[in-house]
Amino acid sequence: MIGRVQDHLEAIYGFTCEARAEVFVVDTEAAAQLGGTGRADEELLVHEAGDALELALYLSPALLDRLKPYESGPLGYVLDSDLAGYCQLAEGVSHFLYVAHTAAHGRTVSLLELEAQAEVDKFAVCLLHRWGEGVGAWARELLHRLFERVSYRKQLSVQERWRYEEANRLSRRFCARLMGHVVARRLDRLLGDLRYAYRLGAEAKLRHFAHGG
Amino acid sequence: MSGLVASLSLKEFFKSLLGEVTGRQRVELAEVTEFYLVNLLSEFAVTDKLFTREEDGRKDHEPLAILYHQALQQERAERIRTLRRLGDVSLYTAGFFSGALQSGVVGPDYYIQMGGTAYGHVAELTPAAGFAQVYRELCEKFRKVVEVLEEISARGMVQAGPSGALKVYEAWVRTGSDRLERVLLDAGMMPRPKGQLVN
Repeated sequence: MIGRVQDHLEAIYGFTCEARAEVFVVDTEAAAQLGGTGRADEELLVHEAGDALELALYLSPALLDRLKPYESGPLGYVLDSDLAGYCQLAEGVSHFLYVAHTAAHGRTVSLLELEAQAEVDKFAVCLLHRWGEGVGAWARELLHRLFERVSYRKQLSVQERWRYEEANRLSRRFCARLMGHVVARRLDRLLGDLRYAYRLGAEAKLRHFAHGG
Repeated sequence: MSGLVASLSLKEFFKSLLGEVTGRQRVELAEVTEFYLVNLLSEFAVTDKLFTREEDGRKDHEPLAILYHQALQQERAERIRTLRRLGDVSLYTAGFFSGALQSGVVGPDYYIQMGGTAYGHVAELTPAAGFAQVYRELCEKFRKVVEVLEEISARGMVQAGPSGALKVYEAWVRTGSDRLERVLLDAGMMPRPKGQLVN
């Protein structure tokens, strides 16, 4: 499923990343050794060593077990049964892909940018699973479930909490602006806007998410 | 966009898809030729038959020119087998990987030329055999059959999920192909122009 989510994101954003997320997945013990907090079901672990960037993706055994029944069938089923689990996995893959992609272009990434992009990615991935007749209603449901019906872990620091809320606010504004393309089923415009925003750098991306400017 | 293939077997699935697409594209094929194509699609779909194994275990495509050259050196029975493989590989590759071939060193036309010629030779070498008419028909209608396989491939990709559907969409944007547009319209990826009916 990790590979399928990566394929899906790459198809949406129109690029191919040589590094495959599933190869970088580490277990709980390795994640702890690499400095993982163990507080979330998914965590991207990044270590800069000189010019080199080392990545590891932690996905909790509980999360992987939850998603195992949906491995071989069409991914559409998981949206009905475990949207939250699927989105957690998509978030981990999104983080991995975004860091790998920006590093390849010699850019650094802020944590807020990373989180905001992941929120957009979750919306885009789920949206395109059901692109077709009736996608408008599905998109509205996604906006509600991904951006309004959210809760945050109690153990977050004040700064972390602010970052997640801000990422949610910015990405929600951007995704809401995409609704016109969704309702008209203008895939060309939807992909155009998603790809343009994806390639913007930190400040420009956050401004674009917030105001479209 | 995802959907399970509700078919009893892969062969039945391809038989029904082939009938649907040849009907839509108005390509007439003898029943025995359809039978041959269904077998070809089923075998290539579930096996590594399209590839050869390198000494280090890697899978690779045999260059068509080498296959052809090899056929010229062989006795009749071996030659028929090699030429038939050349035809099969060319047909499947041109039909299912046309997008990749567009940006490759040799384009789809090379595969169409080589494959059609190979089937023609097989038909000449087996005039008395029952399958001679199959090879003759595949030689004469090679390009049309490639177009049928392109549509089968596109419909399969759209059914397989959103990343496949987006690849078909990108191919349509790149080529403007009416066939791909129809596949996307049928899958609901784009709204039908007002007044256009589903056929």
